[in-house]
Amino acid sequence: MVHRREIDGQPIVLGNQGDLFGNAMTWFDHDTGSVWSQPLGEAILGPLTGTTLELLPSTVAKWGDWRAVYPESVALDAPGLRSGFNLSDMAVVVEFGPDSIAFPSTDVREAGVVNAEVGSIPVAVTVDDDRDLWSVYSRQIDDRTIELERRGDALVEIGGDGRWDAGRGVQLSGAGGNLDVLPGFTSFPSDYATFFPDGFIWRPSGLVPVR
Amino acid sequence: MSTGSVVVIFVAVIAGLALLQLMLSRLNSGELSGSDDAFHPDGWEGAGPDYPGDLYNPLVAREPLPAGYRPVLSRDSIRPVYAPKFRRADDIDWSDNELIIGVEIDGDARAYPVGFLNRREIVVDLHRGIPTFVTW
Repeated sequence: MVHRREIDGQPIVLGNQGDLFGNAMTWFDHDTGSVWSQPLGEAILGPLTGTTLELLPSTVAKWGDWRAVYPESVALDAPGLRSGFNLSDMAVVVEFGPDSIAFPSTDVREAGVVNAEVGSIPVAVTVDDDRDLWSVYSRQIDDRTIELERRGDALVEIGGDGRWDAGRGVQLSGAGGNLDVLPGFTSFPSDYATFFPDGFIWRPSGLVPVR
Repeated sequence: MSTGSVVVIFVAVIAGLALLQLMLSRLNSGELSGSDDAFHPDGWEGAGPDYPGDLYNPLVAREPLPAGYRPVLSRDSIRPVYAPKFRRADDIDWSDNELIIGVEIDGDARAYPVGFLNRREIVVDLHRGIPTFVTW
C-alpha cells in the first residue's frame, strides 16, 4: 500500500510499531507515538486515534511488465528476492470512505475490465491478460459516466470512440483526455474480510457480501 | 618459508576474507544495495530514523488494546528504510518476474520490490515533493 504521510498539509514520519492488529502490520508516528493500522491507514491508539492517511494510487506488478509500461521507471536500490507472492492469489481492493469492493485478480483478468461502482463512484478495474499489472480508473469523463471494455492492451468506450492504454490510462484516441487513476491496493481475500467486514467481493455473477 | 610465499599466503587470506565478506553481504539481503550510482530523484536526503526516547507508546502506557491487537516486536526492530535511494531501470538486475509495488506521480515512476519489502516492510519516501509511505 502507498499512503501520503501528511496530516493537514504537514509531513509526518512513521516507523514500524512491530505489533499485529487483525494480523496486519502496525506503524507509529514519530511526533505523537500514536499507533496506526496499515490496512485501515488509520490511527487506532494514541492522540491521533481516528486520523486517516490518504491512500495513493499504486499497483503491484511484475518488474518486467512494469518496465514495459514505464520504461523510464527508477527502482529502489535493493536486491531482488523472489517474494513468492502471486497476484493471482490476491484481490484488488478499491475503497472510498465506508464503501469498498475487493476484485479477485483472476476474475478481473478473465473479464478484461470490470465496470463497477464503489459507493457512488464509477470505477473500472483492469488486470492485463498477459501481464501481472492492475489499474483502477475513474469512469467519469467530463460530465459523462462511461463503460469500458478491454481490447488487447486498450480500454475502449462502449458506444463511444474513446480508447485508452490499459496500463497507464493514457488516451489513444477520442476525446476527454486521460483516464483518472484511482487508488487501490492488493490484499489477500481473507485479510480483506478481516478489515472490511461490511465489504463486498466482486464476482462475475454480482457482488457478494463478506458476511 | 620464503618471504615471497608468506606474501602469497597473506594475499590469499585477505582475498578469501574479502570474498567471504562479499558473500555475507549478499546473504544479508535485507540491506539496501548501497550502489555507487544510486540517487534520489527528488535529491532527498531521507527522513531521520530517530524519535524522542520518551515518545508516547500506548503499550508502555498500558492503554486498553482493541480486540485483535497483538504486541509482537518492539518499535523499529524491523527497520524501515528511512532514506531510500534509487537506480535507473537499466542498472537493475532483478528478474522480470520480481513482484514490485509501482508508483507513478507526475511522470516519475518508481518500483519497490515486494521480496525486499517483505523483510523491511516500510519505505519512507518523498515522491515529486509528496511525502509517501510504501508498506507491504
